This record gives sequence, C-alpha cells and structure tokens, in this order.
Amino acid sequence: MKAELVFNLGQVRLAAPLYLKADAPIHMTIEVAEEYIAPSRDWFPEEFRLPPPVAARRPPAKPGSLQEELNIILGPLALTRPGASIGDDHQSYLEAIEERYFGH
Amino acid sequence: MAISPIASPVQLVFDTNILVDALTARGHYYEYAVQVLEWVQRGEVEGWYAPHTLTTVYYLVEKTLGMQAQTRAQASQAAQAVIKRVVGLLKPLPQVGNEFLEMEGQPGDDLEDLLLVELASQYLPNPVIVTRDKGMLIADRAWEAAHPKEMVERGLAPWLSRQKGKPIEFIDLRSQQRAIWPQLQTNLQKVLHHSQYILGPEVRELESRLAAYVGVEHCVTVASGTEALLISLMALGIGPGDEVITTPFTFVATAEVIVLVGATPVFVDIESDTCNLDVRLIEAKITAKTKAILPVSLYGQPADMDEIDTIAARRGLPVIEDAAQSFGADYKGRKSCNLSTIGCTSFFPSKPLGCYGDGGAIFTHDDDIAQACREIRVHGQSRRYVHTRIGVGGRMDTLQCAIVQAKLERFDWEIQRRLEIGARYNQVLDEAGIPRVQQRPDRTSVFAQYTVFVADREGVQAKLKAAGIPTAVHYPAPLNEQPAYRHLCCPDCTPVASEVAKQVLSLPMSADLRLLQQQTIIQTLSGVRGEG
Repeated sequence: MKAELVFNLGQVRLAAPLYLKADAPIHMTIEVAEEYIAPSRDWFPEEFRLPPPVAARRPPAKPGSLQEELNIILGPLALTRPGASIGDDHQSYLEAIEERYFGH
Repeated sequence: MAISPIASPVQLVFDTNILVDALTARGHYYEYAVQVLEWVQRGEVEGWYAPHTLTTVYYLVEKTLGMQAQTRAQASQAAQAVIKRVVGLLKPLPQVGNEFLEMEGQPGDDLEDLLLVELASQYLPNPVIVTRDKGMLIADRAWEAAHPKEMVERGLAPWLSRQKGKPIEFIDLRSQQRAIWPQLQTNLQKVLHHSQYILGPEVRELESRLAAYVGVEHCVTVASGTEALLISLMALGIGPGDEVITTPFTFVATAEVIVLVGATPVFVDIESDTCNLDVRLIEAKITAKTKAILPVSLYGQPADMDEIDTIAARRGLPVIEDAAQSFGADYKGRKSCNLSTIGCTSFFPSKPLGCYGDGGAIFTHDDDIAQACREIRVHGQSRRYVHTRIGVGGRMDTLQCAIVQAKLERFDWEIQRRLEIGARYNQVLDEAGIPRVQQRPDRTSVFAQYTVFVADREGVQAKLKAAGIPTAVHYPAPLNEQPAYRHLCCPDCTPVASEVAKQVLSLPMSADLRLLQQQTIIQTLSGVRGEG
C-alpha cells in the first residue's frame, strides 16, 4: 500500500496512523528535494539513529521475578520492543498530548 | 500496596525513560532497569519517583504498548495496570505542584528533568537518579546519576558504601519518615480533608489498633506521656496526703505528676545492672499513705512487673507502669502496657513509637478507669458541657494519631531491627569489656536508649562528639537530687541511682541505624576508652 506523508512541525509524519506488525521492517526512505532542506536544529540533543532491530518476543523471565509479573499483567502485549531515544520519547509525548487535546 | 520499610543510605530516583523501558521491555537496557527495580522490590534500596513524571510515563507506556494493541482501551488498561504494579514499589517525592515557579533553569532546559532533580535534592539526603538520558548523565553535574547498566554491572554495594562517611544521628527520624512517606502523606491528607482535628475518626482507630496490639481492653490516647501519667493518677483518685512509690532514676515527668496531684513521690532505689526499680526495697517503703506503685520500664525494658504486681496485690494497691520508653517490649509473653492496672506510654518523637509532636496513651483492662480517663482528658466531661469530675485538656490531636498510624505500618519491622541492633551492641561491647545496661532473659528491651556505663563520661562524650558520634545522658542526676524534689526524699537514700547517674551514657540507637555506623560507634568508643 502507499502511505501519505506530511511535513508538520519539522517532522515527517503519516497523514493517517499506520500500524505495522511487530516483525515489519521499520526502515523506509522518502526523497525530498535538496532545495527544501533547512539547516539542522538543536531541538533534540541526540541525533536520530536507527534503532538496532529487536526481534519481538516475550521478555524472558525467571519464575517469581518482577519481569514475570509484568509479562502476566501485559498478556499478549508483553513483547520486547526497539529502543527509543530521549528525543523519540519527547516526540511520542508531544504526539500523545496532541491526540489527547486535539482529538487525533 | 505494601512498600518496603527499608531506609537505605542512597535513594534511587527513577527517571521517566527507565520506567518506560522497564514497563514495555523496550530497547537494550530494559532488563537492567527491571533488575534495579527488583532491588527496590526486595527492600535492598529505597526507590522513588517524581509524581509530575507519572503522566508522561503513562502517555509513553500507553503509546508504546498501543503499537501492538488491538484497541486503545487495551493499551490504556495494560498501561495503567503495569504502572500501578511498578510505581507501587516506589515512593512519591513530596511535591506541592508549583515548585517550578521557584526554579532557575537555562533556556532549553527540560523542566520535567529540572523539577525531578530539584525535588530529589531538596528532600532526599543522597539521591541517585537512575536514567539513560545523556543530558542527566553529563560530567560535572550537580546531581548524582547513573545508567542502570552501570549500576547492575557494578552491583549495589558501591553505591551503598560510598555514604559511610555521612554523619551519624542520635535518633534517625529522617530515614524513618522517608520509609513511611506514602502512608504518612495519605493519612495526613485524609485528616486535612475531613478537618476533624480534635477526636476525629483516626483517634478511635488508633486506640483500637493499639489496644489490640497491647492486648488490653481499653486504650485512651492523650496529649503526652506526662498527661497519661497525670490522668491515670487522677482517675485513681490520688491526691493530697497520698504517697506514690516510684524510681528516682527516670525523666522528671514521672515524679512531677505525683506532685502535681498533691501527693508525695517516695523514691525507691534501683538495680545497678538494669537501672529499673529494685523490687526488694519496695515493701519497706509502703505506708498507710501509699496509694500506688509507679515503676518505670527504663530504656525500653519492663521492670520486674510480676513481683511488683504481687506486692501491690498483697497491699491492695494499683500499679501504673510508666512505659514511656518500652512500648513494643515483651515481658513473659505479654506486651509492656499490659502488665499492671494501668500502662502509660509516650509518643514523643524520639520514642520507639513516636508522633511528630506530643502524644501518649493509657492502657487498662478496667472499664471504670478507662471511662474516668476518657472524661478527665476532656475537662472531666461525661457529656457535652456536663463536667462530672475535675479534668484537663489532655486529648491527643487527630493529626498526631494519623502520624502514629502511619508509623504502625512498619512498627513490627522496627522492633525487630531494634532487637537486632541491641543484640549486636551487647555482643561487641561485651567482647570489648565495656559495661552496659543488662537485659533480663524473660523480657525484651526495645532500646529506646542503648546505654553503657563509663567512668570519665564528660571526657568520653567530648571525644565521641569530636569523632562525629552524638551521645546523650539519661539521666545526669536522680530526681531526689534535683532542686525541686530534694526536700521530698533524703538525697543520699538511693545510692545506686546516684552512682549510676554519674556513669550512664546513651549511644545512637534507632531502627535505621546501619551496620557500618554501628561498627564506627563501637570502634570509636573502644578506642576512646582505651585512651582514657
């Protein structure tokens, strides 16, 4: 399928949410003409780096451990996930706030 | 949610990114984050969070889980459940909510991080922020921060041991407060909300819990330990012309209340090893005027209550145990305060069970005495504006009762710790040949004070102070040598008390006294005595 991307607040974003399976590739490319590229900003202290791939699996847990408790609570959502930078978290937080207050 | 009672030398403060990693199994460090949280879960170290970060944690966990959830409700429900489990292990940093108005940040600073550092630095003695935020882990920072991977690889020991140079407190109430903080905050807010500051529901709740703990029928909370003794004497009808047998080696309140009701304290000498009343000397002091016996369970160890009760029963006298220092102690399978006609305790802050001001309680099986005490503490009032007897304004306020209730949550743990610390002091001091107050095998001491005997007390005390070890003297002179009481008893008729008063020295003691601190105290004391 084709997905529509929009530049918004300096970020490339999907026009509509697109949920991928846990094992889907997360590295995709788009082309942007050089004449539209602005100088970099210091908004996020960490440069974005592609997170190393993480095979989604149930987090290993010893019997009686805190991880086992978490796995039980999360049920099917107990999966290992790719890491996120502090900048990613900041962006996710802003998006969550947008969803919360702008009704996305 | 049961939170560990531990108060540790360092306090881990969990940053948002670490909590999200742990809760969502995110990235390559989540296992380290979970492992550090397990240290907290096992009570090996204190864990804290800043309440203002909680909504951020929630949004991020919900969003992260949402990538695999079928519905937002599923993600939201899972996020809430998992946050409650993990954040429930941690204590919330105290936060009014507008602290950021006072903060001085630089342009571009993250307010959430600044506030976390500010709260941790303000409230905790040795906070370590657990984070993988490079902005927090920068060199030359004003705060201590560590990556969970580094912490796990090095283990907890280096973090705990680096604080061993911190000053030793005589009684460590600050650690205790950190340990009970969530319950304390909840209890206080509840009172502030219902606003029944006098005889509110917490008063009756505390009385029920304490009566059950001690194993007596009635508990009447009062304004202080002194007030507990005074009201007890008044309830027994003791007044002018009467005599009350007691010890001269105690805090002045014990004798003061006897004089206040118009009676005369008759001082009986003490045992040289326990410093409690010498029961062999009591009968000789009983006269026709004697109306009660008032032994003190000094330093946290009950006096010879069975023997005292036997003498009192033979003479038809009531016994009031002054258990200001011994609440929680056992005596032949019963609790202190349940060993005589009346038991009186104090909730002075430094006591084994203390509040944050003055407070006390009276315990009895006797319905009439309990009723009298209840009336006397409210100006002798049997019902509103009907004063059937002379009374006092002697109620314990609701806020103080709420504080004691919070402390009761870890009281059993504290008593156990006191026993362990006391036993360790005993063993090492005995090995070092340093004389100390003895404990009888058929009872426990809760060590309200841990007291040794030293010859050159002033010199030893000064040297310990120079080494950063605070001490205290309980008490420098028996009451019959005090100016206000000298005329009530011959000043030289309690020779043991007079001699002991020259030698007693109390060492730092509280449930949160750490092993390293205790070793320092003992080593220093041994060295100081050796020099003498």
